[in-house]
Amino acid sequence: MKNYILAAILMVATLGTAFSQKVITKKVDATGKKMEMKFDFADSIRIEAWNKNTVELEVSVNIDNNRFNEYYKLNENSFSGDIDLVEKIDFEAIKKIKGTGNNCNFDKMIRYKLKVPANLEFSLKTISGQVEVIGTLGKMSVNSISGFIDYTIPASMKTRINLSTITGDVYSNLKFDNKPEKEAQWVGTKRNLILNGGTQPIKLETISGNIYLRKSKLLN
Amino acid sequence: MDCEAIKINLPEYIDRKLDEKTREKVEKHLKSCESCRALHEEMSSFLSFMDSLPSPEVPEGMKEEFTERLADLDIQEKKKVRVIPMWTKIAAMLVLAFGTYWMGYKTGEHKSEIVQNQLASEVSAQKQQVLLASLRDYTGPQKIEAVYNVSNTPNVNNDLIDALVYTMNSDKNTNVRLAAITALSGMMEKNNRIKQELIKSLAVQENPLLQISLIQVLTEKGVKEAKPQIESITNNEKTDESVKAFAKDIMKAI
Amino acid sequence: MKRIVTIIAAFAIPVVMLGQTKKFEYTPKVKNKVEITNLLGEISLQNSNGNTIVIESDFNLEKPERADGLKLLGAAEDNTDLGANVSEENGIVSIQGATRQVRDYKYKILIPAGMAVNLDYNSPFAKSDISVDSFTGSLEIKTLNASVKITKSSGPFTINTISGNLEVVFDKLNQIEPSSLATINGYIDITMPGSDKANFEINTINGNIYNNLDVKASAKENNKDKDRLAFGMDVMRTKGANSYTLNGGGQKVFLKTISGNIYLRKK
Repeated sequence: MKNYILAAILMVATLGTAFSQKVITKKVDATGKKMEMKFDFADSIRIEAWNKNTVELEVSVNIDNNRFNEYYKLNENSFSGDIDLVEKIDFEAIKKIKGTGNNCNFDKMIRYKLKVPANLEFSLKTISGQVEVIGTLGKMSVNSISGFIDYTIPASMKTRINLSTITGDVYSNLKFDNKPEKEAQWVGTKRNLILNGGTQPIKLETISGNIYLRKSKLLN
Repeated sequence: MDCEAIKINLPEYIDRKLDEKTREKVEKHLKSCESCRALHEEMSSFLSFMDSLPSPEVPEGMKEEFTERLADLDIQEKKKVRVIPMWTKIAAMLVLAFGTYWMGYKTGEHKSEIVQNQLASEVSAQKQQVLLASLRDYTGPQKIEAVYNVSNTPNVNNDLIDALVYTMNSDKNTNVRLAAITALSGMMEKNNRIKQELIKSLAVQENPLLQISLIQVLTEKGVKEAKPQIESITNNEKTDESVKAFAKDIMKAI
Repeated sequence: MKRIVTIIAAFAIPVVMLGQTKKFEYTPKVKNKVEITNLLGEISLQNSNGNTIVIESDFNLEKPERADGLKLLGAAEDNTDLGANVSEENGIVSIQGATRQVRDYKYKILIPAGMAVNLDYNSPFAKSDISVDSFTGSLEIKTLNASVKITKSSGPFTINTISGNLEVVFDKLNQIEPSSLATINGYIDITMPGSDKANFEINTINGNIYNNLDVKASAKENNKDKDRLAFGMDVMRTKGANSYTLNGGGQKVFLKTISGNIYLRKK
């Protein structure tokens, strides 16, 4: 009797750890390069500036209790000499296996963490990813359809931020140079904000997400 | 006294503020000069309608601000600038009387003899900027009163028609534009130019109320030339349904 | 026991969570004009007792946790804590909604008597109707679908709307400046003291005009387009706009509808 119970416990235990998270890491030299990221199904993307010349990325993937992690691919195309990262998930294959019945829905959790050179010029596109950008100074364009965009701005940053959200709100603790235009903004918020008399173009676009602009406690 | 000098003195002549000698000279000239007489007539009726309006309650800060700026002027210039006692008149003339017309004046689009001469002679170009800069927007009801009075002036000259057309096409207030349309349609019979301007306005208006009103006014007066414009509005997919429905019905009348 | 419990339950006073009303006051440097834009919530206008503009609202910013320490930055910065921005420039005080969230809240705006107000409510997202009560001063209102209800005021008003209804109860018609009300699909309902003086210019295409105010066709109307057969007769109705006078005539009131009715009532 005891043996059976023990065996059962062991089986359950091993079942639990049978499938584990997939973690992919990448290290790319970014000297003189721009970066383009297309992480359609990301849940969260965190980009942090550092003082090295390399981009280091770590993505943790969990698709349907880790059963379909192998169908996730992070493709790196470097044709033009720039860094081009595209996330690809083979949903067709997954559907074939899962069928179209009641259990065809599944959970996923895909999280990206990047460390990038502070002056890197980059663009990021995601569907519902929640984006955090910390301390970067380079030209950037971030587009998240339903996720929020949270940008912590270094004190030395001189920029012109072009932001727009349709049903979200914008929150900030920074003082911008310009006064808003008197034009009626019936739908959402669309602003061109100048910080420290700057011109470095930053584009933050979301449809239903919020946009957060924070003062960094660090100088750079 | 020549015509240029007359123009400079007219406002004060009308206000009976001229000294005896100058007044006589002006009167003598007016007797023999038809164009100056016409100018005098226009200016008087204009200024008297101005007088019939309530002087806009001068907001506290405004007069101070204005006098401060004037203080920067040359004493020489100041003598010419009889602006302080008459400033409400000039201000009103510029903004109220012509509604948004003064904007056109500023950009040089419309040359209003009265306004231009008044200003050019009294105040140099630089000071004009001061005047214009310190004027405030007038309210919708005030502009409607202006439009109504302009349209009731016996001899509406081209400058006033310009002003009404400009108001019809550019005023920020839809009710004011509506008043301009009504005023112009009342004068359409004797004036082919007004008819053309009303037809042209069809292409400019985006507010359904104004589009319908223009179509109504043109079809009521049987203006067949308006048909193509009306048709293009009906065919434009952006046009509001109520306008399309109205146009379709009323086109049968032309 | 059971019965007592159910009785108590029946009498239990529901706890109504009333939104907390907050106030913001601003004293204009120049008492001239107020422009209200982007404020899509439920607006009611009145006069204030002194020289201060007062905004009362139950606005409650739903701020996500992530926004702790940050302020709302909308079409304009929220400097009133009511989801609105108040600023003054060149003699014009601007009250602007700072966020779409204002749509779900009430705004009671009190304006010092004599200041002119321009209210732009011309948005398909505007929530509800506008009400104005006991207001002395010039009022310009533009709406898309929202109706406007004005009581105990004298004007002058210019109001235009596409499909809203316009109801005005004049306590005494302002004789200094004209009023103009225009709507395409809505109706216009005016109430005026029977002893007031006015010149009505009424223009409706498909609407009906109802009246228990003793208006008479104006002299201008009587001289219009008269043909030989009409000699010695009074005009009842002519095509296009119709002019009527009340008690001999007074300040002008322009009323225009396309398909809606017009009601002229005696107070």
